[in-house]
Amino acid sequence: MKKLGALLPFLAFMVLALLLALALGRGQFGAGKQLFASHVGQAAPTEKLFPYDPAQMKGSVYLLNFFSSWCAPCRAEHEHLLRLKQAGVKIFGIAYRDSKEAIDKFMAAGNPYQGIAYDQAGAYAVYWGITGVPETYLVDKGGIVRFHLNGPLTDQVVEAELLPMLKKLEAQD
Amino acid sequence: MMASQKNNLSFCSRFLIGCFGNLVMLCAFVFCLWGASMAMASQPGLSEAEEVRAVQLGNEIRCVTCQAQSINDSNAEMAMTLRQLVRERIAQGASDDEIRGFLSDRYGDTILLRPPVQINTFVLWFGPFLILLLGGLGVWRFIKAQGKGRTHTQRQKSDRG
Repeated sequence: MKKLGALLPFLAFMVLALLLALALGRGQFGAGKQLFASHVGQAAPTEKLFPYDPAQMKGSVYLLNFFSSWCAPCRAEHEHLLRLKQAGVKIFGIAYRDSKEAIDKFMAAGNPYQGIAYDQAGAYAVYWGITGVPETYLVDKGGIVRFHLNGPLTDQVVEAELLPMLKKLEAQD
Repeated sequence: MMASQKNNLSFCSRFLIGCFGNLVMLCAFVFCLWGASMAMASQPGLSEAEEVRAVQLGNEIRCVTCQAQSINDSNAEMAMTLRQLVRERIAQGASDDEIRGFLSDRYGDTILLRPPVQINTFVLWFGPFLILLLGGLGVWRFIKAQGKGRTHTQRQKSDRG
């Protein structure tokens, strides 16, 4: 009994280390962990921002992309959005804290969006729970968020995650 | 004669430079006031008590861009957006709990720097006290064991003596 008592601190340490190792393995800490709610699997916010109306988009699979002309990663992901548009994907853009003139200039190289809404005060971004730009949501025909990317689209994300998911969701009724 | 003329000149030039300096300072002051009033104009007008509430709530809400800071401490765009949102909601008559509820609905409980006491935060809230209790118990047992050992050796010594 006395020996077991002496072992107690060591056992407690081992249990703590094991729990932390398990949490690390499950990606609960570090860069891979999304700190804030992602809304994946939940109904998309229903608030409108002219000309974007979530109610009117029901029945179609689409991407909602928060972006700004002043954000470098948004410019970096622009070519991916153009490619997705060419592939027939519907994309709606929300210009976060930006002016129409700056967006017009930005879109001169090509506009991937079927419509752009202007969120000058940033209040609309809070409805979607965005933490910065760019952020992209994939919404299914029933208005449920199926994918959320916090950061710019990359080849890896588009090819390995987004396109297969889009194909699957388009096939659903 | 020449010296007094020189003195007069330097006095005049010093006076003019002084006036110019003061004018520049005044312009800078007016410009700052104008800037502050413009910044205030974009915010909804709040009473003194509401202003206090906005600051207190701002201290409790985590900046979603710089997570180690509150929205009051951060200069990030999103922190600015959230500060404005808090003020607007207060002006609309929302309670503190309603504002917290709205934000945690959109971002999850992580946005609250003071997480609510619920099942998944029990360890966070009460874990440190539990560790302190266990540690204290360990120290108490250790001291007790030491004391016992000492009286035992003292008794042995006195038996030999």
